Amino acid sequence: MKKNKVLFFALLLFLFLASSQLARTEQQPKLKIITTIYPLTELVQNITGDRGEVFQLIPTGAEVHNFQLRPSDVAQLRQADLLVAVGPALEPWLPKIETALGRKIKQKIYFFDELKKVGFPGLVEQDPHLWLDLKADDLLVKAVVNQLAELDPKGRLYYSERGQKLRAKISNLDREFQEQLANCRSNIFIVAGHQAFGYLARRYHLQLVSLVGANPESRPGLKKIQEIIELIKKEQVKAIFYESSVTPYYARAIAQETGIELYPLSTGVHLRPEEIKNKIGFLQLMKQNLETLKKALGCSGRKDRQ
Amino acid sequence: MTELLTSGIFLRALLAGLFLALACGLLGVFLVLRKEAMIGHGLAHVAFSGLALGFILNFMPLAISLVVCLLGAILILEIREHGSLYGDTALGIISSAGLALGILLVSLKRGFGVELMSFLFGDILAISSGEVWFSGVLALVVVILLKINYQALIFMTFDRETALVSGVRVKRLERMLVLLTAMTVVLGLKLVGILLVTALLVIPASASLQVAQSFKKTLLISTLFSFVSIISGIFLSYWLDTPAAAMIVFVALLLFVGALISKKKKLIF
Amino acid sequence: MNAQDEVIRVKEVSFYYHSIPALENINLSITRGDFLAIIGPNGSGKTTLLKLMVGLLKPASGQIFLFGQEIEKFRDWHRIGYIQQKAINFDPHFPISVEEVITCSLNSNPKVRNKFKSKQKKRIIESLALVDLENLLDRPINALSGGQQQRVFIARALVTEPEILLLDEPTTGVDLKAQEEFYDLLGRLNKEFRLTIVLVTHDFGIVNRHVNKVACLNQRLVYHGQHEEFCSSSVVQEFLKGGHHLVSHRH
Repeated sequence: MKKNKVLFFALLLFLFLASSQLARTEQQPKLKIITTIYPLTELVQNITGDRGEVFQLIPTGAEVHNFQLRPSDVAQLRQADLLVAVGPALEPWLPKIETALGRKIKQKIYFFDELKKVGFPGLVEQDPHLWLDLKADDLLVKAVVNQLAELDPKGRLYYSERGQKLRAKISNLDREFQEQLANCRSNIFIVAGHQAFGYLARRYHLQLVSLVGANPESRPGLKKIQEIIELIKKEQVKAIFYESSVTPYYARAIAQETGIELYPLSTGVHLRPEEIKNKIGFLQLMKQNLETLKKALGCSGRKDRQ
Repeated sequence: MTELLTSGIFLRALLAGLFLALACGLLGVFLVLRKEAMIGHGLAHVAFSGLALGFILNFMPLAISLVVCLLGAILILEIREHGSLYGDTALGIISSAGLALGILLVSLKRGFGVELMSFLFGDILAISSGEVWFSGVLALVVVILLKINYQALIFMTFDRETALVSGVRVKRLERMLVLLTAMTVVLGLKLVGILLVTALLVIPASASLQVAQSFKKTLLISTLFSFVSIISGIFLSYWLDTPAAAMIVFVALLLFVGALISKKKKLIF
Repeated sequence: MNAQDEVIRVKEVSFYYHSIPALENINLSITRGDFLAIIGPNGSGKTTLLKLMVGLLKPASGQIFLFGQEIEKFRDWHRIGYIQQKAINFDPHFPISVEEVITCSLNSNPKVRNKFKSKQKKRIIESLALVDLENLLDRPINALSGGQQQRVFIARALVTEPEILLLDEPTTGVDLKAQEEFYDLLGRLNKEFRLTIVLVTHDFGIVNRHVNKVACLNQRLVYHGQHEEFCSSSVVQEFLKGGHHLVSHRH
C-alpha cells in the first residue's frame, strides 16, 4: 500500500515536470498544431517535420467519445495555430471546447468537411472512421499542406515537398491494398466490434459485417450474434476480426461456437502498449492490417504482380 | 429458435445468468431487509477502481477487481464500526473514494477507456466457459454459506440485539454477507456491468418483499424473480435484438411493478 | 444462600457513556425464582444495567457473573431469555411468520439446536402454547396485534428453555388490557416453572402484584430488597419525594 502511494506521488510529480518541460520548449517560433487522434497526428507530423509541433489532444488509446479536457490541454489549445480533427461524429465536444476557451481557434481543418467539399463518394455522416480510407487520407494531406503554407509562408516549399513524399507513400500503400486484396477465397469481412472499417471495406470491395454500430460502447444483441454465427456456418467463413486494442470477448465467444480464427486489426486510434512503445507509424499499422487481411481472407493477389 | 437453444453463447449466458440470479436473489433479500440495498452499488464503484488498477498493471483486471472489492468491503465495515458514523455514510465515503480513485487511475494511464467501458454494461453474451464455472462456484458458495447460517441470519436480520444475546456471531455473519456481496458484484460486473448489478441485487428482492408472507417464501420468490428476469431478458434480447443486460433489468422492473399491483389487490403468498 | 441458586451477580459495576457516568458501583444479586423489577426514572440507567447483564455492553469497571461464571467466558446463552425494549417496534414490512421467528431462535444456538433436533416442531408449538398462540403458527408476525406480538417474543425467548427471562419495558405501545394479561403470564411462568424474571419498567404499578423483589435505580442502586419492605422503606419515600414518579396510580 505504502509502495503504491510513493509510486502514485512519483507519477504525479513526473506529470508536473513533464508539462513544465513542454512549456519551456515553446520558446522557438514553431507552428503549433492540435490534433485529436493518432492517425491525424502521424500524418500531420510527417508534413510539419521540424517546423511545427503537434499536440494530440486525446492520448493514444483513451476513449474518444467521452473525452474530458485537463487544465494542461486548455493551455495547449490556447496556443494552437491550427486544429486538425475528424468531425462532429467523432469529436462532438469540440464546439463546447471553443466556447470554453472564450475564443475561436485560428484555423481548423475538419476531415469530414474537406471530403464533403470535394464530393468524396460514400461519405456517411455517422461514420467518422475516414482515416482508414487511404484515398481520404491523401486528400487530408493535401488540405493540411495548403493550410500550413498559408500559416507559415516561408515553409511553403518545405511542406509541399514533405506532403508529396507522404502522398506517394499513401498511394503506394493504397495500390498494395488494391492488388493484394484481389482474388480472395472469401470477401466476407466479419468484425466482432464496432463499425470502424466501413470505408476500408468499401474501398477494397470487402463485404463488411460488424457486430455493433458506429459506437464502440454499445453492446450487441443475441440476435445479431446468432446471425453472424449462422452466416459463418453457411458461407464457411474462416476468419473473424477484432480491434487489436481491446480484449476480444465477443470474437472469442463466436470462435468457440464456430471454430473460426481470430485476427486483430488496428483502427489506428487505440494502440497496444508495445505499439506505443515502438512508436509505430499509422501507415505501418495500415500495412499490418493489410497483411492480416490478406492472410485471413486467403487472398492470392493479382497474378501480374507476383 | 432451435439454433438458439443449442447455441453455446446462449447456453453460457443463460447458465452464468442463472447462477448470478441465484446469488443476487438470495443475498438481495438480506441486504434490502438490513437497509443495505445500496452496498452493492457502493461496492461496484470500488470494483471499478479495481478494474482500472488491473488495466494499469495490465494483469487480470477482474481478479484484481475482486481483491480490491473485498478490501473495500472490509474497509466499509471497519469505518462503520469505528468511525461512529450514521447509517450508510461509510458506504458513501468508500464508494466515492472508489470512483474517484478509478477516474484518477484512468486519467493517469489515459489509454484503456474503451476496455473499461465494457464493464459499464457487462458482456453476458460473450463469456467464456471459465467464467461460467466461476459464477457456478460463486453461486454454490453463496447457497451453502446462507444455508448453513440460515437461521442465525434470519435472527440477526430480524432482531440484531436479541440475536447477539442469544450468542449468534452477528459480526462474523455481517462480514460474511458483505464479502459475499463483494464477490457477487464482481461477477455481476462481468455479466451485466457496474450500472446494472445493483439492480439485480435490489429489484427482485424488493419485488418479492411486496408479496411474500414469510422469510422462506421471500427468498424463493426473490430467486424466482431473478431467474425470470435473466431468462426472459436474454430471450427478449434475441427477439428485439437489444443488449441483454438492459433487457434483464427491464424485466426485473416489470416484475416489481407487477408485485406492487398484486400487493394492492391483496394477492399475496 | 446456595451459590448454585445465584443466577446473576453484578459486582461493583460502573458504566460511562462518553465519560458521563450512567451507572456507578452497582452491586446486585439475582437468585433463582426471583421476580425482580428494576425501576427508576428516565435516564436512571435501567436499560443500561440490563444490557450489561446480557453482555450487550461491557462494564467500565466491576464484574458480572452469569450462573457463577464470568460473563466473558459465558457461552450457554440459551439459558438466558432476553426481550429488548424495541422488540415490537420491528420493521412492519419484515416478512416473517410466527413459526420462523421462533425457529430462528431455537436453531441459532448449536447447543439447543442439537438438543431439540428430533422434536423441534413440537418444542415450537409447546412454547407457543405457553403463551396461548399455538394456532397462529403460520401467520406473518406483522398481522398480529401488539399484545400477540409481545407474546410471540416471550415464546421465542422460552423455546430454548431458559432459566431466566430479562425484559426491558416489554409493554411499551401495548394496550392496558393486553399489558395486564402479559404480566399475569409472566407471574404464572415465575410461579409454575420457577422461572427467574428480571423486568425493567418505569411503571411499577402494573407489575406490583407479581414482583417479589425490587431494585430501585438512579445511577446508583437506591434500594434493593424484598418487595414487602419496599413501599415502607425510607430510602424510597425519600426518592419519591424528589419528584420521581415511580408508581402510577391507576389502581
